[in-house]
Amino acid sequence: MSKENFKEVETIIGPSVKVEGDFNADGNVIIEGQMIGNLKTQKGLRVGEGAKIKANISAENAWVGGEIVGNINILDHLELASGAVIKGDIEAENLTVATGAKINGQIKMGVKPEKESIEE
Amino acid sequence: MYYYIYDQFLSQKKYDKVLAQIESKITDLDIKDRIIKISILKSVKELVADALNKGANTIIAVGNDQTINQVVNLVVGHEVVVGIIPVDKKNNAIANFLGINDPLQACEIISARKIEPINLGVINSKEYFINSIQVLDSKIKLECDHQFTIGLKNERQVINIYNFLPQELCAKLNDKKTSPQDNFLEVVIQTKEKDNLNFLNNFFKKEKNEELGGFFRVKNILIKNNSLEKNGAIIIDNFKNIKPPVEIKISQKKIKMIVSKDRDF
Repeated sequence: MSKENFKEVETIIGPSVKVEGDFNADGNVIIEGQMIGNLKTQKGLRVGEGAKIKANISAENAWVGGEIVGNINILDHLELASGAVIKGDIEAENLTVATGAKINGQIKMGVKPEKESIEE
Repeated sequence: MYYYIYDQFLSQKKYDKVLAQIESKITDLDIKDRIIKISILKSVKELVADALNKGANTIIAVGNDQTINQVVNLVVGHEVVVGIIPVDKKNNAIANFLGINDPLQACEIISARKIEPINLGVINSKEYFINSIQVLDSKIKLECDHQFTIGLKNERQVINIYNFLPQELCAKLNDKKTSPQDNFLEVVIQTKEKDNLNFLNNFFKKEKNEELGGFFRVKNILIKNNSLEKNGAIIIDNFKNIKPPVEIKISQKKIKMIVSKDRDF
């Protein structure tokens, strides 16, 4: 997954928007702002350079350029860009880490996490 | 049987010509049954009730978004089809969204009678809206689907809650899922340009640059009491102000509307 590859977007949390609570989505999610709580999506997640997230995250794929405090559970590919700061545990099938990305937590790879279904 | 309900503002002399053209067109198309006019003496409520009692199966709102909103609120739950003839050049977002752009084209669309079931938004379980709700207060918080809240950090931002998501936004998002039949409301956060640039933009006829600040698809929105600022406003379908507490949902009831044959959802 690269930074730009979302063709369709279901949710955008822009730089001046703050979301608090449990957020569940079926489609691709872009976060450039603030999120506190829990975030689950069945598709991709892009966390922009300025984003600040305090949440446990589940997604199919993710590109992270911002800050996440919480555990990250990715079914397929997690890409951490140079500005990424992760304070929490990571579980992902595949992981790419750019120079400069910071991780403070445990990393588990190759153990495909169970896909969690989203309740309506 | 077709009932045409003319809004009260159409009694102004400047609309005589276009109304004569409409009447001539619907006569030619053989879809002219009854024309009734809203006036000081006869409210839209009385006129719609009378039309329903007399067995109207198609009610055509002739006017603007406000006319359509009023008619739809009165016919929800009845086996009736609603059509639109937009006359006012402004305030016709609902007609335009359905592919209806001018009065004479509207007559042909009504005659072609392509009918689509359309979602309605409902406010506090009693008042329906068709197009959108605008929230003009950056301090407000939306509680969505009883699960999360959306708050803004920029006072130049406005929130639009759409049943009819404008096509330019669909294109911007490359969104193919959203339609007025999808049982979702779309929350769109946009940043308005600074006021002091307005005169420059008007001078150069430059389009307003409204940056997309957020996009969510939800089914239920709650705006709690006392959450609206003194200068804030919540506006339904571009004409009616309401005060919190407000619960906004997609209604279980749909309305059958006549749409342009070119309009695919």
